[in-house]
Amino acid sequence: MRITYRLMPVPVMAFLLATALSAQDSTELLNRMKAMEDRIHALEAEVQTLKGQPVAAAAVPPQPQPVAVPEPIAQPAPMEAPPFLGGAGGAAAKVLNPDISVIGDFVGAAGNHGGRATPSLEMHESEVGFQEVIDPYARADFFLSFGEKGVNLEEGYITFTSLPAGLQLKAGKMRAAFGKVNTTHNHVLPWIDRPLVTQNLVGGEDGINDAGLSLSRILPAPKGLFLEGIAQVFRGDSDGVFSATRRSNVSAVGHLHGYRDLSESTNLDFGASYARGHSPFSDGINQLYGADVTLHWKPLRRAIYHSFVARSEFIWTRTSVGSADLPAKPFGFYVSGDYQLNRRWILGARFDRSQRGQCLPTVPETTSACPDPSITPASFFTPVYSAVSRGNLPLLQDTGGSILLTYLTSEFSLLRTQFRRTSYGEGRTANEFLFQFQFSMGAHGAHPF
Amino acid sequence: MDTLSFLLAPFIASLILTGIHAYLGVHVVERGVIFVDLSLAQIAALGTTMAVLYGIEPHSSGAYCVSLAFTFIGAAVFSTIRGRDVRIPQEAIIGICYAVASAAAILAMSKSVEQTEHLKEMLVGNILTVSWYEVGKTAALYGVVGLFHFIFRKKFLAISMDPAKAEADGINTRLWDFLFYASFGFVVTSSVAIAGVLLVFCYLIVPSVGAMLFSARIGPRLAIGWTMGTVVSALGVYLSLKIDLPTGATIVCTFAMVLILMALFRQFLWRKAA
Amino acid sequence: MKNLLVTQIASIIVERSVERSRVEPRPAPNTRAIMSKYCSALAALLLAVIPAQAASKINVMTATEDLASIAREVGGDLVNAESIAKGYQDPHFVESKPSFLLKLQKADLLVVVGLQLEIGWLPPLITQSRNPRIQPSQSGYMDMSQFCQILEIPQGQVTRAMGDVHPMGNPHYWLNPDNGRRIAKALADRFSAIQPANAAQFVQRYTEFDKHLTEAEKGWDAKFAPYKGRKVITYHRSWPNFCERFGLVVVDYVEPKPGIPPTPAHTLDLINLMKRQGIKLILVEPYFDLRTPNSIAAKVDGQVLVLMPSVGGNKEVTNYFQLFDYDLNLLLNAFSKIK
Repeated sequence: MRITYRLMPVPVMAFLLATALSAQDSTELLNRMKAMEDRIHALEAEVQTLKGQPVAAAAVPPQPQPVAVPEPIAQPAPMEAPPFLGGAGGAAAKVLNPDISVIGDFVGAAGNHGGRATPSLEMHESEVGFQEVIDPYARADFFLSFGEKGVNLEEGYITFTSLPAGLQLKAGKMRAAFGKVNTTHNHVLPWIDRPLVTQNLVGGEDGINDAGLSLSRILPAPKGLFLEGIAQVFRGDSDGVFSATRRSNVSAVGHLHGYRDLSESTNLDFGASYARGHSPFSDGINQLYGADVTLHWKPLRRAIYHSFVARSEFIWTRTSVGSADLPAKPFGFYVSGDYQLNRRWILGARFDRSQRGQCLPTVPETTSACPDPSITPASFFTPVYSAVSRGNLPLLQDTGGSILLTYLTSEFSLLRTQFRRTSYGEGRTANEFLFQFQFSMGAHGAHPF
Repeated sequence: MDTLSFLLAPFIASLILTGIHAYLGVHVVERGVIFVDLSLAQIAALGTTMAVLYGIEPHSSGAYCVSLAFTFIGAAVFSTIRGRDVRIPQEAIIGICYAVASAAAILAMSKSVEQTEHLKEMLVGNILTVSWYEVGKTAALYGVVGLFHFIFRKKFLAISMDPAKAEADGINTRLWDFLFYASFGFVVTSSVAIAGVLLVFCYLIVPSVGAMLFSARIGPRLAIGWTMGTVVSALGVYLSLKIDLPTGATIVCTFAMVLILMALFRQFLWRKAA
Repeated sequence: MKNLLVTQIASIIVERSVERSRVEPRPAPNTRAIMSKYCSALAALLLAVIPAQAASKINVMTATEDLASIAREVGGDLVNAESIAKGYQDPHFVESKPSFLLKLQKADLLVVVGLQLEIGWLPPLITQSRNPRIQPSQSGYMDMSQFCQILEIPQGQVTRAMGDVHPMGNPHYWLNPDNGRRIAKALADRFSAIQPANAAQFVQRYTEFDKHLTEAEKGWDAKFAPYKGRKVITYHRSWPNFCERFGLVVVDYVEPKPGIPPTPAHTLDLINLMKRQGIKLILVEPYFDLRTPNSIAAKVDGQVLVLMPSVGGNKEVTNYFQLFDYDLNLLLNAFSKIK
């Protein structure tokens, strides 16, 4: 601290000197000025090493503040004459607390549910996020979700940002990079629910979400094209998708992500995904293949008023029993579009269709007549799957359509309504009206693209 | 400036919207094509975008003519789709037209830069900022359209309520369908420019749905629709100022609330009375 | 005396370069332990490549075009400066597109406005850039707000009920030439640290920039002197630094609260306020809807001016000097008409 105070007059003097000098054109003076500047730098560097703070912050005398005060409260500068340089000393005031955000998600539903019941009113999920840089080499992100069934570590991982060769490593529990919807948190989705294909084939709301490692790298590509490869290894436990009975039952996910700017305001994002792990339905391997495309349009001059996003994802799965592949390969997809009409209104639509094996678990559960997968051993499903494979139990197909209207009250809260019509494979049709209030507090949550 | 004179122009504008849209809404709901207004408005927007892309000034009459021509093409498409083949619902084709027109407009806009970005602003209005000039122009325009519909009311109602019978009576349904959609497109395009798509949609659908709860005949339905529209407009504009909320959104919510109240009234009180 | 200074400079430069090589992306031992073995071969290769790149030109990525423009003024041919946000874009709302990652990956220096202006889009870009040099707290990350005079630092409790406030102060500080000078100074220093061999040239260029700016300021002040103290309304709180510097008084805003679109009661209050105080000018940034400002202006018989908050806001404004030329000329024309 003391060194900082002693330093204060030096940059000020240098500054005054610099302005005074500009009129004259003497090289000697310039040299002297430069020498002084360099000395300041040397001293600043010393302060930096002493304080473990960036050089820049040294220009502002940080106010001693109790740790408990969370946000910067500006206090008058201790010096009189020169202008106060720097902001409210946020870096000093924040001390070392992580950025904390809380997102509430209140969902209501009305109408006939056709078999997949959701509560009429529900505090669906409250997500608490803690994010902070840990050290010069890594940062950490934690997302806890408080649902009606309890607390769940939705994601919690460390990201190593300073690896060589353009590599990035994440370790912890995370949503697998399988397509788009699987990586997306509930509050970032453009819909209230998740599409049928996710519910039937990719583990529903939680999706493929497991403890493991993720390594990614930006790949060399022709100019104008962005390519990123992601390879992930997980323990192999994801409800309804993978289950690990032995340590060797790890699951692997690979994702190739491409991106291209079509113009300043339009861009195309596309990806291919593959996931493989031990099947929860049989003593075999469950494999998923996915392809996704997203088109974004946002005119830069009117970015806050208009935008259009079209997205689509296609997913195939196949499960093998023992060594033989089953011929039943359920397939599903969705297509969706969102158009921002003006600053506050977004109009959206979605069409989705997905097949599923009869009596095989989906999330949320469709078929109450079948045993609960969470308490039933996987071996029970093996004959079911064999029956599916022999054609004795044909695949069922669900088809749904939704229209959505979103009202953004501000940057931090929204109200969304969704009218959803679904024809389930069993022959029932659901007409539902869903609504959602979403609100966030704390640090601005910036979302990856 | 006092509150009254500040809110007078938006209020008069919403009354004009109520007048024409409650009437057109009866037709639209009867035909089961409730998204046709969104679709036609988008087609008109595509027209203006194309005109600007080919170097015509956005506010000129040239651009207006192009947009009108596009609207008429849309009207022609919609008038031909009402066939006997019920396998493809009309609403689906209207939806596809909306999607195609939106996508084409976006593609066109991403081609050029500066001017088209401001274009959307021109096409989607905010009822609070409506000027007296716009109010006057719209009133005159809707007067003409309203008169046209009043003169030929029998034919228009016949093709909307019972197209099979109308055809049997020797009415050229294709021609009258086209005229309906063309005049409708004309109205919707202007309305969207002063009030925005969502508000126009509400003015079109909600009064007519509210009226259907209580009556099956056209006369009472129109009366109920107009009353409801007027009450909601006044209430919405007033509330928006009182609680300082965006006017368009407040009117939309007021519409929803009044509709729910009407439904409850119908459910619990109307039956007892009857 | 002179000799002594020269040796001192030399020693400092040497020290600097030693320090710099320390900061270069050599992974710390604990990180390396986590990495698998075959990565280290690649790492060694990369390390061999990066210093060679840095020796040629300094790759500077900036958050906004104003910072890029100043970096070009100071760096000249020795730097490549590019901005993420375009000048006609609202800098609060930029999409974090992957194409920016490719540029950030190669950057030697990332210069940001700070004060949470970029909080909605820059952090994920930095994390995903895989560029250890530009991570916050590294020497390749520069938050310019640390060097500048910041206005509107909120006192007391800050809540979101106040709208989208910036709890650390108003981030539109580059609209005061004094802060532009401070930014240039900080950049010249940092460039010199990165390329000590060209330090003299950076200092020279900074001195020229300073001189040029001082002259330009004299011209602006002279032309603008008669209009000091005029009252204006602005759309967003983008102009406190600009208005303070040139003596304009911002009476109210079209937005009722920062980031909240205009509401009816506030609009009515604003119209009455403008009529009462005879305010005729509404200043709007190019990325906001003109409908409400236009309708207010029509009711008070006033005028809406689309001022450029950033370099690159339109085709005529291509550098930091033209930014003020353009805005001040627009204001002068408007004032001379209104009387």
